[in-house]
Amino acid sequence: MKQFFDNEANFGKAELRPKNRPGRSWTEEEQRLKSNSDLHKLWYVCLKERNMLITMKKAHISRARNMPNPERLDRVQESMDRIETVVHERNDAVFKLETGVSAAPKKRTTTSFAGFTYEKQATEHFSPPKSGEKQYEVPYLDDDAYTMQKLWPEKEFMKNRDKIDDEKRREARTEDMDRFKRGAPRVFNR
Amino acid sequence: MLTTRVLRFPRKPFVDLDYARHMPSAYVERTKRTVPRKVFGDRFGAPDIKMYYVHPDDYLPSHRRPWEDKQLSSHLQRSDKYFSAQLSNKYFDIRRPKSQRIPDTEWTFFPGDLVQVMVGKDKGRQGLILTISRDSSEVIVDGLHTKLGEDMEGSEKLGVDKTLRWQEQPLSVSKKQVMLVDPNNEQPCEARWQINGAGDEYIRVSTASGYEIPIPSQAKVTYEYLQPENYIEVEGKDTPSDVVLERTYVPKIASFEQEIMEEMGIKEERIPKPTFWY
Amino acid sequence: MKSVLQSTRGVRSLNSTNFPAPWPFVKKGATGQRKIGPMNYEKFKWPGQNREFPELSPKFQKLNPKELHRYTGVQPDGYHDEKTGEFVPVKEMRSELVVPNLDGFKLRPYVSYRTDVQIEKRRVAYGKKVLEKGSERLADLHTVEDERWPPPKMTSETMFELAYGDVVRTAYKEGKYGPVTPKNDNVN
Repeated sequence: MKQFFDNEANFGKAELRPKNRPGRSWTEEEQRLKSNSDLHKLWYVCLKERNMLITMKKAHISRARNMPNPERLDRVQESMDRIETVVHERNDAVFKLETGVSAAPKKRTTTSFAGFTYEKQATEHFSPPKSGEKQYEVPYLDDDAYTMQKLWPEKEFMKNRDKIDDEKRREARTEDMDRFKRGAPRVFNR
Repeated sequence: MLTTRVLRFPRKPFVDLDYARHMPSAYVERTKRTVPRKVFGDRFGAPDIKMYYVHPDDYLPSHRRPWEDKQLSSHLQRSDKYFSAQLSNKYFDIRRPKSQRIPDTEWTFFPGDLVQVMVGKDKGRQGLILTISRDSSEVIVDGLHTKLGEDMEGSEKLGVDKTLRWQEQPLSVSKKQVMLVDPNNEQPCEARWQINGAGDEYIRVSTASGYEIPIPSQAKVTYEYLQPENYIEVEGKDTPSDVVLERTYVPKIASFEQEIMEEMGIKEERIPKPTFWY
Repeated sequence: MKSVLQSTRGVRSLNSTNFPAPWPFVKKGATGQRKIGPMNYEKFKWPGQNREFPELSPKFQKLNPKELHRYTGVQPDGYHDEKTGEFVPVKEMRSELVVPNLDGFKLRPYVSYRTDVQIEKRRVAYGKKVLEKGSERLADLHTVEDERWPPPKMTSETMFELAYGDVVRTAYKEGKYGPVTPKNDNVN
């Protein structure tokens, strides 16, 4: 139970004393030195720390205070994300060598009704696909999708053109123009 | 054997000299409020729509750290305004930063440097840099370019006497309101980075005389420590360096899960039926 | 507006401030219809003006799809049987957490900044070694694995080298893959 709470010296502080301020997050390089079981344990150490921080955050908020050094949460989160990448990297190496397939989730290339062709994560099913259930990449688009695909880049182009125009206008604006505008008659209740 | 000749240029360690270098970037972005409020994804191949608290282009940098109370509250106010303007379809003037950010490789000002103020009431006087702000390209010089301001705003409401104090105001580097001092003739000068004689390190030299302007030790100070060697480790929270750098990984032909199962003594005889991915 | 200068002579001057209109002159927008008189903007009184999903807007009154009714983002631990209409829990679908014993575990959630000093030392030493030997691969052969920084990523090639490299090499020398041609063989 006590492990859910921070050191009592840190309660209600605006900022932690340097003596109690913990260090940085684990980097990927450091985690590459550690064995799988160490990483597994480190994950749970980080998880406990994160639980503690979230408890303290709640406790501070309930007393209308700010938690001291909230960047600790991000530090722990960073280390946990990096553990995931390192474990994935190792699994990937083994899987590619032994089975020839990557450890990353499987992807499918599909074409949506709007005519966009994109990569999408495949999902696992117990039964083989019925007709029309599996999504494919379609080389020829129907009329609606075709029109959409023609209009989309046009819209993007026009947005970009307007943005460039705005930028040019802003650059051309001078201090005198601003000053002149400020002198214009005021209106009430605008 | 493939023997590729590697050309090794000296690293540029000065680019990460920063008081906030160890702050997690996610935290900094969050305090700046330049993170998406909501991401409308899964749009059948069309790019995501991101609704920002404050759009990164619209972020107005300041010489204060984004996580300081004052700055944080102003960011919150701004993001509220931004949001209500978005909802009620009102025109919201985008505030551009007043100056372009100077690239990291061209930045030459560090805390502890002797500089000369080129503008204002302290024009021509020299002083030491207290803090720098890379976002807004501004520096604060110790005791120079000051303004008489209230020490604590709203102190009269709390029943405390108003105290006035001389507060240093930021000086812009990009507008050349401050310049470094040449150690040769004590005159203001510009500086650049150059590889030293041995060819293994970058040094900062004055463009006028070519004299080296050494980097002060104060430049290496960060929020967490004065020097990394003297960092105070927290008992039970910090892993000491010898434990961190100890190698325990032995590569094995087994996935992470298999290795953990073996270690924890978990037996699994069931064979999963084939599944279909689509 | 109401601060009218009182004349000492008791005479009202013809200054425009002495003749205020009963309502302010209002110009709506920079261009468009000009209306004089008190304006009452009714549209500002509608509720939910400044909300992200205003309830009055028909845009948000549609019912959500049925799949999202009880959506929690949690993996299901069973399935819904359509014949009986009941939820059947499956033991195998329930996720189990494998929690290790953390007694005597030395690693902590944060890393001391003193590590950076050690890392910098290793990096410099390795960089010098690379310059001396001419290539990273040669330098790797002449440094202890623990002293390298940054430590290499684990790839399938490295894994192959470690697991099967020696076996394949000896098999090649013994001629199991066909006769060995005596050309200048630099492969180690």
